[in-house]
Amino acid sequence: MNAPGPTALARDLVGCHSCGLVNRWPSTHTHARCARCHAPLHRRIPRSLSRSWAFLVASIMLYVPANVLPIMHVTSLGQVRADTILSGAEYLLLHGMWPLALIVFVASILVPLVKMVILAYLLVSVQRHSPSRRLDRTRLYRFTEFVGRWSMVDVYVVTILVALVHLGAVAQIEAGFGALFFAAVVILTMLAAHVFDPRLIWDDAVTRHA
Amino acid sequence: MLDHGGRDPVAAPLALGITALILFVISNVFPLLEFGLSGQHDTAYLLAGIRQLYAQPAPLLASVVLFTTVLAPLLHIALLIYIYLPLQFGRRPPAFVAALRLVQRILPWSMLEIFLLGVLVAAVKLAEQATIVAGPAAWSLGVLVIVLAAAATQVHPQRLWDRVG
Amino acid sequence: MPDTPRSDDDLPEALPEARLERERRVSLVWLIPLVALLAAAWLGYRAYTQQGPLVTIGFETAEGLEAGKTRVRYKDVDIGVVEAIDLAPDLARVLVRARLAAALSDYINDKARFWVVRPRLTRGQVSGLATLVGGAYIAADLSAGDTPQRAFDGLETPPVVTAVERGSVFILRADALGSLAAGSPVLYRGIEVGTVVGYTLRDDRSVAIQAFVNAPHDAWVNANTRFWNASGIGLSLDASGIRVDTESLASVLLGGIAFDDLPNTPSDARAQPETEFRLFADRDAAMAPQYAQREDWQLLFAGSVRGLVVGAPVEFRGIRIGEVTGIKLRMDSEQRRVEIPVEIAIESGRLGGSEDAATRRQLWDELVAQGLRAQLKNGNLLTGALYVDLDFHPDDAPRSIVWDAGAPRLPTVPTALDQLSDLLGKLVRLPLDSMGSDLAATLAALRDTTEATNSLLERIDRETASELNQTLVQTRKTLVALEKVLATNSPLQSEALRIFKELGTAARSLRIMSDYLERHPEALLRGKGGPGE
Repeated sequence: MNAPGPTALARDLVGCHSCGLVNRWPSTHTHARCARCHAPLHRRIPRSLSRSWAFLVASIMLYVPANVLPIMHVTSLGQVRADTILSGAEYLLLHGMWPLALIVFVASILVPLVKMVILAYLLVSVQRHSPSRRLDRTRLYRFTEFVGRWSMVDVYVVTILVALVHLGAVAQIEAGFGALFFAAVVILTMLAAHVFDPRLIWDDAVTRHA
Repeated sequence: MLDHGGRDPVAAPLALGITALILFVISNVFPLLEFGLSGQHDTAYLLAGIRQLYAQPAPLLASVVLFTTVLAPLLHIALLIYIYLPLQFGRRPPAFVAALRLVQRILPWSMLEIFLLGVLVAAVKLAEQATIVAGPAAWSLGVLVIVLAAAATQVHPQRLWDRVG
Repeated sequence: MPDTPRSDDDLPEALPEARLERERRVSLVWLIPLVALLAAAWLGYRAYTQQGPLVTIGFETAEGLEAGKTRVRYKDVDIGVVEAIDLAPDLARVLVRARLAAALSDYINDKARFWVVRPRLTRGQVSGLATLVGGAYIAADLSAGDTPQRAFDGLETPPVVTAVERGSVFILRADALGSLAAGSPVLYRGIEVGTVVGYTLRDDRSVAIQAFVNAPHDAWVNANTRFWNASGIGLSLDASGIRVDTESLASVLLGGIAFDDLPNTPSDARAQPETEFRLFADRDAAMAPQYAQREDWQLLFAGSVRGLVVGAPVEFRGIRIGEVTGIKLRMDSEQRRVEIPVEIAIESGRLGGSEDAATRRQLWDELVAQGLRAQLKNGNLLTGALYVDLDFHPDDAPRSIVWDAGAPRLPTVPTALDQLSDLLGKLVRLPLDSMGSDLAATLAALRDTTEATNSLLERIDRETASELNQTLVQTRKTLVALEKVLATNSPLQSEALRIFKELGTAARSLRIMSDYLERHPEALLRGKGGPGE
């Protein structure tokens, strides 16, 4: 697997995003459409790296307020408590609900952080034409694409709590700005992963090989 | 049975799509969670919760939740039916290509399964202080998640093209 | 493909014929949406059948109410939830739409009442405090009825009496409400047996008060029952003195209504609910005999009527038979004098009772001929309140009733005070001077008597002295005999001596002990110590 055969790109072949048909596309032309479904064909996602970087940088910037600002304000009998993402997980842990605390910790804190680090690593490695562990990097990419969405769980928890607990003076939960920033971080990292073209990881190997 | 050509590439996604539509309606019409605290009761509906969030005011957050838990799944289901219903009768729907593309695009943004986890976390969080009863919507949401996942595995654009093309 | 028809022309005959199955036209996968549809249909059906009646309740304000959250409760049990809060088209009221439990649809009738429970101060009690924390809710009062109803006017204040409580409402007619209010107690012999439910101003400007009397006490209300206002402290200063009337401390503060039967009347059959009664100003007014027929009389008094008031009693030998209804001042221009006619009303049943007017008139004439007169009497020396007393004065000059066109005039005799002043006049006219000289003579005679007494005493002195001497001699003899008894060698003496000696010993030992104690006071506590101490 460390020495894969020539890519489709190298053989002037392009798979259709839409119907999966493999089209023959001489590399001399810049624009083409699928022979079967007439969807536009791309050899690689256009400007994949720069767009991915833009989304990633934005998400890193928003990650700070997402964790510092409270995601919800809990008013209970006149007392107002502000919960951040970290304190929410901590609360669950302190109340003995450690499986839940683990889920929240992994989904809300670990996953976004790991995802940003992985994306940054993938982008840097592609730009540097790094030849090492291409398969592992592809797997990492698939992992981030799959796991990234699950960070939204905290946003949904806030939504449900807000919907459920509005008992006036007894208990009232309001969403904080942290939740919005956090949702933005999740969406931006998803977009960053989405526009990143994993085929770029292999291109370098093929050109060298060829 | 001697001869079996595998599952029908059209009937299964269509059946799952229609099932998903029914479950989606149940999930949005019936209460999600019933909540009781010190003699007071409250019922949480999915849409009412989003409206609550919108009124707080957190309109941006409400839009995100609305899109990922209501609009995206609904679009997904609607597209499934839009594509497969005419195919069932041997016809090719207009804008077939665009619809197929859209299904693939919308899929990551339909986050019902994550929302379900959120419901679970919220319920457990509250269960210590309040009584929480899962409403019909919670159960139908659970089934809906499974049905949508099954539908996603049943959609094979290549096989469709083989059939249509 | 299973559905492709195939020809078996080029196949060997030996191949067995496949057991052909009928083509399944519908794929099994369609069972999934079918199950979902059934589930949805079942849920929908259940929701529809469990959906109860939707009622609209009008309120002044929606304060504390919230659509989707505020509950409707009956006996603190949730029976529904507020679905929407709208303004009435004319903006005068708030229309609250609430969905109630389906099981209760029979009870949502014209007898149902709804009100909002909020913290409030009523009847000196704080109620609904729990809603401070839990939020306001709509309370319902339901009872069986025939006329279904879906639109209601909400009560602004909680009803004092709910349908659960059994009893009867009686209507009390009063001139003014006074300090009564909804919730004021209804008392029977000082015990709260009901409450004032409400009041309305009638067209004739009288006030109709609805008083609710709890079962079984409502059975005690009958035609002979009198209701009176027991509000506050009744302080009366009249011919009978100062009286303080209170029914209960609560009624002093909050007002109240009391009722009781008229004394000495048989308890009638119980009154029907909604029966109307008159609300008297106080207990006395209520308990005063209410005779249907009253006879008006006129009295002319010669003296002052100061102290006589309208309402003062008319008594016959201490028994109240009527009251003063008016005191007028009239100038008799013909006779050139001022007279004060006092109008009184006498219960016709009390004196000279007879159905026939002629007979009654004859009877009265006879009574007056026997000496029946009216007189002003002082009921209370302290306050100077007067009352009219009817009594027989046989000594009075014979007079008769003046049967005027209006009220007949009963002859009067002067006031007791007038009589006293007569007496004083007589005293003034007494021959005091002659009485004085008589007295001097008497005193002189008395002096003579004293002198005589003195001489008598002197004589007694002389005659008794020798006698006394003899007595003294006798006494001395007795004393000598006594001396002998007490002589040194007499048994009495020696015995006494022995006793004295013993006493002396006892005294000595006491002194020793006291000496010891003085030196060792601790011995009192510890006991006498050993010699070495």
